Amino acid sequence: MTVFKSLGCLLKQPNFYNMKVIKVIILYFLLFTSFTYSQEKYKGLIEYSLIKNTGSEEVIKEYLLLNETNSFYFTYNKNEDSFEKLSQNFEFKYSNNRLNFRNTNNEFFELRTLKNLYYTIDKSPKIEWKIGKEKKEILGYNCVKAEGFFRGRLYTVWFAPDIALGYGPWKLNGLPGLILEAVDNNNYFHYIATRISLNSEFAVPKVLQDKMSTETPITYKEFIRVEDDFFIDLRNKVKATYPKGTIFKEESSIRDLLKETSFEWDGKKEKLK
Amino acid sequence: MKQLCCILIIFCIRVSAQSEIKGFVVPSDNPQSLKATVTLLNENDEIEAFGFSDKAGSFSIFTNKLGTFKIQIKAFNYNSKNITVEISAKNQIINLENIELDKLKEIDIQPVVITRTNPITTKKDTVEYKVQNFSNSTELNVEELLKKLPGITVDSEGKIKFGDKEVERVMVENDDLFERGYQTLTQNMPTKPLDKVQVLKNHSRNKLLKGIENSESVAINLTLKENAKSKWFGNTVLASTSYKEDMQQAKINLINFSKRKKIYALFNYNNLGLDEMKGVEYLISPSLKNDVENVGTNLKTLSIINLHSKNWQFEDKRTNFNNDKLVSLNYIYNFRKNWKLTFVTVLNETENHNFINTYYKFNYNDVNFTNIENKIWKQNRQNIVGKLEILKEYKNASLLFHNKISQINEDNNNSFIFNGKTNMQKGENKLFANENRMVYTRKIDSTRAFVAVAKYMYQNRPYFFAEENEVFQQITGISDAKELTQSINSKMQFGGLKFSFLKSWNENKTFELQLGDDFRRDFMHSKITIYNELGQNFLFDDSRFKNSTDYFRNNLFSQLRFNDKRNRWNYGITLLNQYIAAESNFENKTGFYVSPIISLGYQNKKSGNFNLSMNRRFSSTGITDIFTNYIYQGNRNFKQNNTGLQQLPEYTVSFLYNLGDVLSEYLNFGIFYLRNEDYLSNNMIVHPDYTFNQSILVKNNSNFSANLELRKYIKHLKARVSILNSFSHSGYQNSVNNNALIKTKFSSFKTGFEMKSGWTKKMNYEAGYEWVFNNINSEINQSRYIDQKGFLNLYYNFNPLFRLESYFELYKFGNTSQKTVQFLDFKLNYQLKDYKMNLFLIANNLLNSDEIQRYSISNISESLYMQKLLPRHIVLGINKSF
Repeated sequence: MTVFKSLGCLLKQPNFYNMKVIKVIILYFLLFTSFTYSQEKYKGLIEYSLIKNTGSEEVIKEYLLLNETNSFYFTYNKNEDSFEKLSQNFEFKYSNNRLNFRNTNNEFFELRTLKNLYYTIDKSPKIEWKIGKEKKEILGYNCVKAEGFFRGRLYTVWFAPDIALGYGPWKLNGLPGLILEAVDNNNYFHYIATRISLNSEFAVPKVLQDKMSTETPITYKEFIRVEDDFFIDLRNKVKATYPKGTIFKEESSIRDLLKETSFEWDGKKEKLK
Repeated sequence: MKQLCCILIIFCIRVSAQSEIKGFVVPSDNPQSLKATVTLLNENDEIEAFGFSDKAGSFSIFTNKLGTFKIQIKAFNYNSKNITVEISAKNQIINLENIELDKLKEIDIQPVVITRTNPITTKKDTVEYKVQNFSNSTELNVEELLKKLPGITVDSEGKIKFGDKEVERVMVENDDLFERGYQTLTQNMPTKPLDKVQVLKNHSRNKLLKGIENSESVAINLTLKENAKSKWFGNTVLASTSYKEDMQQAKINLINFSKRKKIYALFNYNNLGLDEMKGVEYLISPSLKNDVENVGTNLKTLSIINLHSKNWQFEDKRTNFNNDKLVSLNYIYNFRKNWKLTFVTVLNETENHNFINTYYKFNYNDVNFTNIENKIWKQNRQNIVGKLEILKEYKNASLLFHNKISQINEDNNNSFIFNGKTNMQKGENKLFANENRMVYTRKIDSTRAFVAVAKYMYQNRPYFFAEENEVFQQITGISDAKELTQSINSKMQFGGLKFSFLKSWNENKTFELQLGDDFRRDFMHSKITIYNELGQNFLFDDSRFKNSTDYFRNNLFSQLRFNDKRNRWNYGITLLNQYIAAESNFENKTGFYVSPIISLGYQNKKSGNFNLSMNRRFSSTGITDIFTNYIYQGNRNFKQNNTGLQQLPEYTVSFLYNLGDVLSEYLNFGIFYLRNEDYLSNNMIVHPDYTFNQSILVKNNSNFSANLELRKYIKHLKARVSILNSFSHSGYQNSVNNNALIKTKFSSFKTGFEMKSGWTKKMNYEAGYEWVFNNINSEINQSRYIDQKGFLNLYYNFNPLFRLESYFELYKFGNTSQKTVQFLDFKLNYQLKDYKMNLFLIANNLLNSDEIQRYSISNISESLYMQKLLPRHIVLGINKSF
């Protein structure tokens, strides 16, 4: 801790206040923290199925490892595997993985593959949840309905107050109970918990830990810019691939079919009525 | 400072409007804090507000409600605590001070595991497209939508391909109406009610055989939106040019689909040159696939002569002088006790006019002559097709009865001017066909099945035509012969029975055994009569011009098929054994024939995929190859055969290779080689005014073709560039005037490029150019010429509702006097969303090119064709959904 305190002191001095130094410091900080967390064992595991309905329907298996204080979330595109089977012969493939690691400060450390591998930190905004009256049972737990906007989509979720952990699939979190089902109002992204395992020991596959501790992070805003470019490029490619004579409609926004369609920095406010 | 003030003010207001409940969570076992959830519950146990304890353990939650509440504090693996609070006034602050949470006893902290199966599993072998993400709601029919789905291509005849595989059926809500003639559906049905398009790979038509049969078939299933079910909906398309050109289009679709009952009625009419009637032809023609549910593969619609010549020199859409109408009514009913009835009827009438002028120059063995012909082909055809299918499903078995009746009435009214002399030709040809098929399927267990199929077919195809032509004087030696009539009567019967056993070890390893027998009987009679100007017929020696031929063929066969896939390799073996007994009124022949097919494939992303296939097979000569006296084919051309009953052996080898990713860089290469040991060629006996053709048997002929496609996405152009190359080489031998065989080699090499932009802006373009180098080389003559073709298409979206498309094409055919022929077409589309309506304006052939010339050459002649084109026309139309 003393290291950080002294770094904090340095920051306050004007002659150290230049970007280069800050970058180095942030990097140092990140390497240090991610290393710390990667040692962690987790007490709980939730497996979710994400039913993606944008264009062509597909099912993706996603895994949430959790503790009281932090969680680790990742996806792997072989959707039949259980976590145990997956961790035994885990192979880091650039095209398969998407990782979110969430720490106590509600920061997401995300590892994503577009053209290259990117490591980014997302301080995603707090979701203003509106808790409803409806209830239903999921995997034996009584769940309560809640609604909230997150980055351009309105999600309806079902959380279990009896699992007093404020996590959920992907970046959906902040309810007084674990989210076991979530769906956006277009029904493009539908998460359903298929497995709840608590009070056992789970560890993040080592390959993933190693990846997290060696990559250099970029800001989330920067990452979104890269992602937009990537998808614009992909859209160009896809359109150009069609045989001659194929005509397309006027373009919708590039992010229309992605999970996050708008951002805090765009300046748009979303409020539940 | 200002901002800080604002924040403070907002904060104050917020706090002042609400009551606050705060406290401090302390775990009893541990001095460190823990993360707890705090919820405020009302009398109904509904959550009014919630919060979390922070790192230090403190929490505060706010509410603006009054009354009695329960505060519930929970933490993972701790006993929860409930505290009742009473909020009696606004702005109340309730401090709960320290709240101690007890950890669960060790014994209560038990591993918890709850699982369930995936609520949805990805449907293997299914690719699903959500229509709303691909449609721009200006599509006039399903075909236009399918063209936009990645992986799907539709050719000019309306045939659909997924990847490189042809789609075999298009179903709506899992029901197949038009079989191979699915164009009737895809070119008419509106896209509005569609929810999803599903491409089903390895599709089994028969539900019971799914997973047992090694099916390579691809089918498309269209699913409807929930709100489109159980009610009437449809659309209408109306379009017209000005009264001067007098060209119109009208289309009405009426659909009502419910769980039990499906009704689809449609009407289609156009004389705009649109060819939307191909589906009917495919529906009439018998199935040729040798799968377990079908028996008999060489069954085509009988065709002895053809009195109509549709344009084949140039694109159909520019030369189709038509007047087509189609009415279709389709009905499917599911009875309660697993009975299903499918009823399809199609009635259509097509009219086609084709205008060609030819210049024919013959030059062989010091015989030189030139013929100039002006031909107008007119055909009127009425088709009626009715299909009835009854399916009964049992627990592990099914019984299908299928009946199809088709009738064609064809009238020809052709006018030919041959070197200045007018010849009129009128024909009346008919077809009646009836096909009955019964299929019994029994699933023995999850890996084995048994299928039995019986089929009986009957076709009656009479022809009658009359032609006024002075050439008959020369042929018959009757000096005042003026008119010839010919009547042909041809009939065919087919019957077959087949039993199949299927076994699968896993999805890749399958085995199939077929045993069966089929027979085919043909009768053909032809007769020519000659009349004079007064309509009196002459007696003449017609022994060379009449036929009475019988043909019978029995085929006893067995077929073994085995397929397996291991790692990246896959292979397949098919072995067909046939004992064929054929008989005509001249001879008898029997023989035993073995036809193997071997295929081998390898798939690997890095090194590429390849597929090698080798095949030896026999094709039988049929009724059209064995009649021995002349039949007049029309157009100053007589034909007879000297070959008799034959089984013609041939080998084929094909190799396909592809590497890379279609989106970025891709290479596709293919070779195809065909060798005929025996094949049918002809001996022409040429006279300047007429020709006698005799089919002869010739040995050793080969064909070779190859294609190479390279494509790359160029990032800074944001465009895809494809280089397209193909090469073909064929040889044939024919004879003229009974002289020695002439060997001829024909080769053509095509090279060109195609570009398509992938701009996300308002505009996009497509451009391309190709050159075809033709080369003919025979013992008599040789020639080279180049054909060229180019295009530039521009698309512009003014806004999401208003779009312009423009198409420019350029053709330059070698060895013609015409330099280039150019076409310019426009299409404007405007969507009126509020009225569920599209308006469109189509301008075709704006440069008003009226004729296109093409050159062709054979070893004894050269020809120049001049094809008349549809003149400039502007169409205004509307598409309205209801």
